[in-house]
Amino acid sequence: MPDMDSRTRRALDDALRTLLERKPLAQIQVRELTELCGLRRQSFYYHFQDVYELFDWSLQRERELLLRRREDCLTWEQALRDLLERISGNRAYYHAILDNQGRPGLRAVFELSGMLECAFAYYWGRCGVTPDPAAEQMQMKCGETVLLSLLENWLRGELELEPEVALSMLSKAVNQSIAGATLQTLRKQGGLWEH
Amino acid sequence: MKKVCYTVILQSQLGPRAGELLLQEDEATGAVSGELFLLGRRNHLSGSVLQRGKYLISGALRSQVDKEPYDAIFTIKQGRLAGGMVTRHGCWDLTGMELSIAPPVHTAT
Repeated sequence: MPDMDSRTRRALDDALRTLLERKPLAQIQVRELTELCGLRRQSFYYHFQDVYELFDWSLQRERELLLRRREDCLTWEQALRDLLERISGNRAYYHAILDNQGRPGLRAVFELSGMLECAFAYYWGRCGVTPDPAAEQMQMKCGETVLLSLLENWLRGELELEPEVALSMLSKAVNQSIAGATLQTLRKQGGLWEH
Repeated sequence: MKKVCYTVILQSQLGPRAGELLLQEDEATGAVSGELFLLGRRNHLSGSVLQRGKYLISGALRSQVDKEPYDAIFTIKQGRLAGGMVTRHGCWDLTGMELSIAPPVHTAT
């Protein structure tokens, strides 16, 4: 009964998210999860070995959800705003990711590389930047690291900025970089006079 | 009133997004109205026929997080739509095909 199986897994995941609002992952017990779902204890072990395995499954589910939501965005700003809103509404859950899996956990769930790849290709094309796969790869990696570190700091409360403010600052920085890259291209192509 | 539906692809900053465009054309006045169904949402649009087969429409694309105003200019020739959508973030290619014009279907004999 695959439908039933997946319904049970989802119910356990929902219970886990609820409990994470109250206590850290390490303190959550199988009994609490099954009680919250109205399931027998054995049902949990039919699907998962322990709470950590459920958490891993939950992360996979969250990642898929974020990717689906990104499909409903047209720009990186929209995608990032959507991500910040999702984090704001599920702070305890994202804290649990950070506490238990660190930045690699966040990296895996956010899957920012796909979004950055599209956005970078879009800007490079419009700035007339000469293709350079090695440099592009490096810039992508830097971009992902900067964004991840920003999200991590924001999540930890070390960066006391409203999502809108953080987004507008990033957007300004990106636009300035684009203007710079376009000027450089024009200069290389002889389209600008040096004074 | 002429009413035609198109499947459309918008080449957004984050890749192609598929949708449907319903165009209603008042042949007497040259006014255009309709809906653009994109990102899982229906968005009202209005505009005009610039010249035979050439359209200018305006509206806003609603997404989960905000509303993106746009102007789009495109031509329609033999059921094929081609043009661009201008947003605050730049100009994106918009292409499409009339819904009744289905690609040839190959059936096994």
